[in-house]
Amino acid sequence: MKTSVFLGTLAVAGLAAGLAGAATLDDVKAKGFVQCGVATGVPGFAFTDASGEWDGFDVSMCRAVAAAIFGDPKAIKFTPTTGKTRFTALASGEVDLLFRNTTWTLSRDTDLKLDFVGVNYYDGQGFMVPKSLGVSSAKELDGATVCIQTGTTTELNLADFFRANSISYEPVPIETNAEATQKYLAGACDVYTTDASGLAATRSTFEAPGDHVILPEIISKEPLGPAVRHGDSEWADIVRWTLNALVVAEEFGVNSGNVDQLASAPTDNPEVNRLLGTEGEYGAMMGLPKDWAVKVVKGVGNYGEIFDRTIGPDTPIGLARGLNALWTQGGILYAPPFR
Amino acid sequence: MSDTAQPSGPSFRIDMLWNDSRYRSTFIQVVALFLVILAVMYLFQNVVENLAALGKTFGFDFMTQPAGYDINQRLIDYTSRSTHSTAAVVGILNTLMVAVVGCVLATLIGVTAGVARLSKNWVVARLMTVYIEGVRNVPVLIQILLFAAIFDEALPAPSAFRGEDATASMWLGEMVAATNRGFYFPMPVWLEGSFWVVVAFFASILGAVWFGRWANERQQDTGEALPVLPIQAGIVAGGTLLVFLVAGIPIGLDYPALKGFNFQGGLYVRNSYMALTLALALYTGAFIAENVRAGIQAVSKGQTEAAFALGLRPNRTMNLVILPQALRVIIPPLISQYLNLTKNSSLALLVGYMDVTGTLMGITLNQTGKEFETLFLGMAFYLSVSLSVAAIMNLYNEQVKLVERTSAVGMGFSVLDLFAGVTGKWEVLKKGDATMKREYGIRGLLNLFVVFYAVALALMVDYTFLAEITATRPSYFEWSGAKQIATLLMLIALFATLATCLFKNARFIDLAVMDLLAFIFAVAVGWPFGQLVEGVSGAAIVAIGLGARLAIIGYTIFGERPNLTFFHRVRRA
Repeated sequence: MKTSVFLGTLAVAGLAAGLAGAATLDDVKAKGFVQCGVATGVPGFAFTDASGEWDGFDVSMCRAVAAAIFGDPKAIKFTPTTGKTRFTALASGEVDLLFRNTTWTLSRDTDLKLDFVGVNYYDGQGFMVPKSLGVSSAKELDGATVCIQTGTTTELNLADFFRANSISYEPVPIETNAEATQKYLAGACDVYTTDASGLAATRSTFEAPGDHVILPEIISKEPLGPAVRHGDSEWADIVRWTLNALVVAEEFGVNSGNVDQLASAPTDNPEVNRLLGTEGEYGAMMGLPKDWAVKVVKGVGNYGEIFDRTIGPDTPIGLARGLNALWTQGGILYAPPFR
Repeated sequence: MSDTAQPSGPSFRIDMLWNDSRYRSTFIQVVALFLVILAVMYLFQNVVENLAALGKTFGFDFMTQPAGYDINQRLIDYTSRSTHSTAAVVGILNTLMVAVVGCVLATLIGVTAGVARLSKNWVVARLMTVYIEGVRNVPVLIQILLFAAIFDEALPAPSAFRGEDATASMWLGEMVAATNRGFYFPMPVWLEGSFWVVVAFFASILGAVWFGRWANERQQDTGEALPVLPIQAGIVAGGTLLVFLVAGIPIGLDYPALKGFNFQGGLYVRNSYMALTLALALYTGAFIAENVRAGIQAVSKGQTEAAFALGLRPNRTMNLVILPQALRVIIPPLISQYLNLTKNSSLALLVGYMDVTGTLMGITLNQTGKEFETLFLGMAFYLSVSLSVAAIMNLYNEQVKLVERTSAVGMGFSVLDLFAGVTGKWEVLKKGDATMKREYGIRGLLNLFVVFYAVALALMVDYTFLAEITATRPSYFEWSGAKQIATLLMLIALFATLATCLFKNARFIDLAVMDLLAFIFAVAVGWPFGQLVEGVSGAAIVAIGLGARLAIIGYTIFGERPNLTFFHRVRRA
């Protein structure tokens, strides 16, 4: 008798454990903050500033999600993840979403049971070498020692590139960007390869950035974007439309300076009204407050503002918009309409 | 009939389970066992449910997919198009290379340091104390990183060797290059005729072993001792050198040379491997040194004094009297040090060394998202390596441990007992028995048995793990269940039989029978023996395997004096 009660309790507990974690939004609201997985430290994208606060391109986007839910970009905690640990951290529920220069690929989207909800940076894999080597093309790298971050798509692209060009190389697998930088600067590898944005960011931290060149070959497509667990569409919608809101805000000239004024009363542009909640019930459709996009733009700025502040031409990273310009300005950044 | 009357209490009641001391302990154990089983079932159920909730399935299909990544150090053929299982094997071999070389180095360092710490020379003894106490009290992780950092930062880059104003130069007359990527050594190049040099080398080793046995026997009979070691060294060096010269110097050296970005040619030992192996060997060596010191100090001083009184010189006292007795104390903790070193080698990824943690449980896990499967396989690998090392060391310990004259040899049922009616009873001699006599020559060591089992095991391992997968056979994970089980059974049985045979354990006969049964099972499920050796048909291999196994077992049971156990089983007169 007692045993059957015990078994019954076990069964119920097992069922509860199986169901828990299905509704991420409820979990997040219950605990009062978003747990965001970011890189362990990539200058410009995810780093801690002098006061210990997380900042950067990916970090700001993640703060936008917190702003959308809680109206406060600081209602967030960050978990630094390596290339190796990130997917396990997300799958196990240790983080609610991953905003960590992660490439959107088919197998990750399906087999790894992640859902990529968009692209926040269009990137490609490049090579950085010291100028003194006198190398001008990646095809001249026969026999070179190459530092790679292990557990990344770059590892696979690298193997494919060298195989396709029938040249040999010596891979040196490294766990984090910082260790790779140390090895590269010590001359323990001739080449460092990762996403071109990461190379530019890393180079900006060198004592003499001018002594290193990024080779012209971009050997892969690396659409970097946020990922959530598969099977929770409500949560995926929130992250997806927060990202879209940042892009649409830039497209329609809504920025952190004028957002309060634009949101105070309906404007002539219906799309801006729908974005800022002065028209329709678009926030409620996602379980968010009416003025969620206002808080997002007020909290972190629009896409262009974030870009310029963290990695843009005026920062030490100095990345140009390139592919990441709006579709109206020659780039491929394009958000579906708010309707 | 018993005199004491049974207590005529009431018949069994349910409350006697916890009130009556006769039943209580059994009852508690049953309940505890039940609870443990429930807990394990709950955990397993939880894992399955949560995996299902994540939409993940459990399976090893991914192991046959192309891995897609490159590995720098590979002891077998591997490209980025090879499968994940090949990548895992590459990682396993890299792990084993660290473990084996590390264990040998650690033993050498440990024995030297342990003996030196007991030296009467104050400086030597104190230096060893500093080494042992310093190294074994610092986490091994830090030491590995320290070595890696020193190699990275202190050694010159290959480009420093280039040009007129090179800032670095090669060592030992342009033979060895130490760079911040690794060390380059000259590598032997095998030209035509080198085969005979290798044959001569092994033949002269056999000759040296034979000479050692002969000298030993002669000493037993006549009491005259020969300088065995110098003569043995002379036989090996002289024999090999003679053939080397006669064959026209068929082995050359390939020197490393700077080409392009790196040195090319020669033998390339990566810094990651160097750092990992050296750090692990030094760290474990410090522990072994303490084991050695404890072992030596455990031998009573009276033994030394008695040896001196007999006129033995100090180094003979050490070699003949102290160390053999000290080994009994040293070996059991030595086993766990070897296991520690093997397990610590999983820190390899920190210095970018691709061991099995880096390939199977690192990149493969990451690219396929199969956490449970890869970690399960990885744990199975470490478990089987650790158990194998422990088994071998335990067998060795069985040989050297003290066997007292009166101690009973605890042997349960053995296959030999089945044939007791035909062969007569067997008696186990102990070390002190007067009739015990060492057997010399091939019979004594069972060389043919060892050779057969070693070759069979090597073929099995080569076919199961190393053979080019797509060309000759489907990957292990695509075989039928019966064949997979047959493979595992054969590997385990062959390994156990070889080990017991090598160490002349009394259990050899039982394991040989187990190996025979595994072999028969494999034949029954249609194991592809035809692919084991190129050019030899499956029927021939089955016939040879079966015949040899039956012959070995038959000789062990019915042979004149199958002196195969350390305890010297002999037929009772």
